[in-house]
Amino acid sequence: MEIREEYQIALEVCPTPLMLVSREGDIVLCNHRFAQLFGYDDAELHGQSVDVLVPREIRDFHPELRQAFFEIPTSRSMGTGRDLYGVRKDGELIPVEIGLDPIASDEDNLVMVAVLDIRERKMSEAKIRRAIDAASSAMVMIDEEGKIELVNEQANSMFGYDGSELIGDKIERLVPQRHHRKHVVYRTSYQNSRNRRTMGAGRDLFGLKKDGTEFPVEIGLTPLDGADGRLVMATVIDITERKESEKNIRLKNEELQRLNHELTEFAYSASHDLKAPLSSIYGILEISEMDLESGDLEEVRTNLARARVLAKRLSERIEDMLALAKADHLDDVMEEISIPDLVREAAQAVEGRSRLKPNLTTAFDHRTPVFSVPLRLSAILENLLANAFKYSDPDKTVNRVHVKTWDEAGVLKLAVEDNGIGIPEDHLGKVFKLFQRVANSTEPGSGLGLALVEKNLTHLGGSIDVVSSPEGSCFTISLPQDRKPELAACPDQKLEVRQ
Amino acid sequence: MTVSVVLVDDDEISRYITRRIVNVAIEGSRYTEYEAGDAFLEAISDPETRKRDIGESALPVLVFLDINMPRMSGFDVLESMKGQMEQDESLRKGLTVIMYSSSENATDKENALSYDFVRDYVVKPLTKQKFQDIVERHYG
Repeated sequence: MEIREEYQIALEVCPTPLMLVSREGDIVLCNHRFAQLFGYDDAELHGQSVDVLVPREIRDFHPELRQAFFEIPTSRSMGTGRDLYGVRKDGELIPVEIGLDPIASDEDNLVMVAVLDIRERKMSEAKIRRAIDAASSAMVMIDEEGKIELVNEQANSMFGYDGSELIGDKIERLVPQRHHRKHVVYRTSYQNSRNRRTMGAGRDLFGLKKDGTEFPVEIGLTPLDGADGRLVMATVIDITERKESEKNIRLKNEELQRLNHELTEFAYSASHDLKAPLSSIYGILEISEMDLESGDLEEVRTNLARARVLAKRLSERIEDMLALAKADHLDDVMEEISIPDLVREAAQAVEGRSRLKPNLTTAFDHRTPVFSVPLRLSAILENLLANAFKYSDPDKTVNRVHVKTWDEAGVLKLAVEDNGIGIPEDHLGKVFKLFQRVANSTEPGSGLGLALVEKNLTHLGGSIDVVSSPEGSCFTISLPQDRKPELAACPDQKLEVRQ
Repeated sequence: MTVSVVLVDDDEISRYITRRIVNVAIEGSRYTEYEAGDAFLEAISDPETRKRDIGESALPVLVFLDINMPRMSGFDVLESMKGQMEQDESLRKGLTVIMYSSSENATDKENALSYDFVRDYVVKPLTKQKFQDIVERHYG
């Protein structure tokens, strides 16, 4: 009894909620703070079983644990690693931390139980947790051994995990297999510097999802030193989208460079091709002045004719360039067109300009109606026919140009075939480029015709093929037609333009 | 003064203008023309042909070389000549190459003058005055 009174005074002086419990589990003494914490009056708990303070789930095996403690009594905290709760008189559970100290006494074995109310700490922990979960980047905290201590919601959803699945696992679970060995080395050496920095400067980093897919990441490292050791917080940002847009920018940039290069080439060729005839005209006029002075009128006449041809060539070249520039800005209104009519008109235009007049035959065997942009198709036909006429082979007895059409799986095909001089094999790949002229011909031209054909075809969603040999060339254009089955009517009438 | 001029140019009218200007500018000039680079290369590769076609003179021959020619451009010709020019001293001393183009393109000019045997870059058309200046520059 004396002992109890001494203890009682000592307990009341102590600022911590305390109680003395016997080996049987009875509360021998508790201080005012203790009773207050659990909602009891000061002496109310004396003599009661400690189990009234123990949550129902633990109550059944608590006596066993208590027994174990008295067998090897040491000062320790209760339930390491587990969350402990105490039951208040009103039934409310409060999170607590409990310290146990055996007290040696002659009469009986007692244990001094100190109970810390950790409600506030738990609340601020929860607040921090909510803050971490609210962060826009994924956060993963690891301990010195690389074991995951904490992941926020973003980290879970970024890597495809749930809840606490990752807790306690090695961080390498989030790293692609091929980097595991290195990562362990990097991680260990980071523990020496422990500075705040981004991970893997200059290297591309990847994260590994639960489903095995990888994604590019950026990672920031922050050392967190605390009572629980030397921790590291890694913040992870998924940069898939950024990488994607970087790639897009790079592709766009390459495209721009290519266009710029093309433009430079165009400017180069254009300046040359426009200037060449002009400087020739200048030269011829100077010579004509000299000839006029010396009275050689015949030479003057010849030279004026030369100048006229050059001026005409120059003006045609300018026309072609303008047509090419305009080809990008036409209104693409599709309408029903008549291929035979367009071919006839193109042939008439070309024949009017052409020095050489091969025999033109046609064979139309396509289905109607045909929809296209008349201006574009006319430009295509005129240029193809002009080439077929221009590159006639003077060594062949009969010069022929044949235009034929047919259908192939919803695509309108139109071929312009000639028995002209053909295109050298090593030139075939270049004929659609700007300012490319057939090397085996001295026929004047701007080198723009087929570039114009291709540009117009591109706008029509079509394409062009060419085969060529010394026996002649054949250009075949493909124009996709959006045909409704009921419109797949009879073939267009056969028509011979000229025999 | 006997001046020897060689023109390599695919364009007929350009050849006509050059021929007329050379003849008018300096009387008694010797003038030879080639329609393509390979014909010219062939002519200079063999001393006999060279002598017959271009002739021999105390002064170097002025070779006007057009840049924009089909099949083989003026630059292709320069590239083909390079080896020959390095090996053959008589050729190196005998030919003064002048690039001849209708466009005054800085890159073309730079490329042309990067060959040590290319001495000049002349923009077409050739006029009497221009030609006399060139002769003055290289023989004066």
